[in-house]
Amino acid sequence: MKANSQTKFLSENYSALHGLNAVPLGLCLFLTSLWANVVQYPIKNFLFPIVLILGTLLLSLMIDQYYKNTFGEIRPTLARRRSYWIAQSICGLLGLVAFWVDITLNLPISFIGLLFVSLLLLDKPMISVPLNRFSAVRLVESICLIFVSITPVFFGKNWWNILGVRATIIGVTMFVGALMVLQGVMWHVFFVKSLPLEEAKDE
Amino acid sequence: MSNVFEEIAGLDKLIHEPARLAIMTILSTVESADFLALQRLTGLTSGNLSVHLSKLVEGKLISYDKKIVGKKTKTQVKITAKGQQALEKHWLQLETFRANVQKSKPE
Repeated sequence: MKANSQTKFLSENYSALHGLNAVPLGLCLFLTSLWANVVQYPIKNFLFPIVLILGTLLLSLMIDQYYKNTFGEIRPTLARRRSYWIAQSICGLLGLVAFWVDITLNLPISFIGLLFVSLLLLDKPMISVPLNRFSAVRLVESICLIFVSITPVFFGKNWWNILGVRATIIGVTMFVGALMVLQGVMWHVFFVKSLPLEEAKDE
Repeated sequence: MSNVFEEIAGLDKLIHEPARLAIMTILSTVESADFLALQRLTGLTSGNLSVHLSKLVEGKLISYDKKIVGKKTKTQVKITAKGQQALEKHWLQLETFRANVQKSKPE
């Protein structure tokens, strides 16, 4: 039997800690950015992104089923679900604004990157002190992403070209995608390890 | 000191048992949980979990709803208002008990 606080943390954040759920989206973001980096403009063939989106949906469904069949389901409280959907909607809108700013204003800071940082810092389970394993991963990710988002300030707007990346926005989204995959795998491992392994004996 | 023993005796044994306290704690933080999730979070065998759930249902601290999804039976478990109150009362009693023990410690 785990400590009461740990049991509470796990049950409150049960589906949020299902790390592999983030992997398809992270892969999709990474591969789309990779494709945007190598594709010839103007784009004539959209087969790759369409296949990628379908693949992402399929993989997401498979992972969802895996979690449901292996770890069961927990329905969060209404307040929690409501705040999740409000946050998702706000982030969606801010994402569009950040994308527009990054594309049109050509500033030496990536707003898309900073938006993802704020998502990492504000999304539940939030980073708490003392740090647990989940929070520690998020904190390191946030620091890395802040650094990557502001690198053009220090190294110039075109420094991504040295790495063979066309634009800052492509480099940042590739980085975010890779981070999502990495966090997803790490959180999954932590989640599985956090659950009690030994079954209790009969009373 | 006798006061402390009275407090221990006054604890609700239905909730105080570690496995049932874990089940109640989980259910107090969510709207509902299915049988498999409770099993994963508590580490109990399905037999043990069933026994504890039955006791909590008998005490009207939780309620459950069984549905057949495909070929499987799915059990959704919820805490009742009485269960939520009983859990809060239990934690309060434990806090008071702890504070009293701290007070009665020789300096």
